Amino acid sequence: MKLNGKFAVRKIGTDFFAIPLGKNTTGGMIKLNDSGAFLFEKLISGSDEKALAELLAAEYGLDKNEAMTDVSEFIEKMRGAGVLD
Amino acid sequence: MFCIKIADTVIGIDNKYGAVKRICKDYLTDEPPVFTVSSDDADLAYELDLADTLGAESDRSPEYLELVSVYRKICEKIHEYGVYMLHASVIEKDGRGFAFSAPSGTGKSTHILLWRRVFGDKVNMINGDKPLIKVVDGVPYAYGTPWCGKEGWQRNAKAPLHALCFLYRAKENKIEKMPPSDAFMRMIGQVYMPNGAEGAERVVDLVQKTAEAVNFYTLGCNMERTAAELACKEMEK
Repeated sequence: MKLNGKFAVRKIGTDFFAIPLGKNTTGGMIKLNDSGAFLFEKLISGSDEKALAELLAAEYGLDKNEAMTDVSEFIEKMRGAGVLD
Repeated sequence: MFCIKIADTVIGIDNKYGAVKRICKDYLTDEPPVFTVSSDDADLAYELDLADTLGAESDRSPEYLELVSVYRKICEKIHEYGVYMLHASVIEKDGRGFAFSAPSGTGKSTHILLWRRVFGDKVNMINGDKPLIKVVDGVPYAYGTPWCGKEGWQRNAKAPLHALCFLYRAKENKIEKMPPSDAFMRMIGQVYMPNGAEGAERVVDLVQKTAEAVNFYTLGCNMERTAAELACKEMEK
């Protein structure tokens, strides 16, 4: 699972933004929170839901199930935003 | 072929038609350019296509299309020099820049004329439509350029941007501070984004630096003097 184009991720204040770069992306700008930005960065090089859940659990001290739920929600949101391949 | 100096950057323009040189008369220079732009038939066809797609009421003559195309070409390259284009009206008062952003027809020009009426010649135009912004040591400077909108409001001058407000029409005047994150998001929608990823990322960085340096507001305004008085009082803080 990968992003369908290049993005710049920037932090302004306490919010993160993922901005599509160049003419190749179909999605628009996305506002992310801390954990969302963390997962988004991982998608830049490509990953899968299981690996993302493990990384998220490690980074935020969550249990595996909680992490899986968070990741599923995140992936849904990214699909909806049209940024996944 | 002629050269202009805009946003402290010398650019060569290899033109076919006279219109673009005419609008550049206040910016001509003999200094050597750091880059040169020119527009060919394919570029003009692109602008024509775009105007048709957007249903724009603008001129469709090759002269006018070249004028528009040249600015686009400049904006596609000038980010390499720390400059980006912002769609906003910028005025200068007491040495500081104040910017107003709103969809066409909202009343930016009317509001600016109110500032002139209230504050007289303390208020000067920088660029009425598409200023270039150059970030120098963390300070965003707004510049006059030949591309300034239908009123022709431009001056070959610059001002450090102090505040920017997003204008909307309202019965009662109301000004509110806008958090930098919201401002950043809205600004991204109001700048020229280069086609390439590298250029686009540079512009994102420049907009971020601008969002960190400028105070942002939303301003609901009616067409009365009090709108300008209120806006100025807050924005000057």
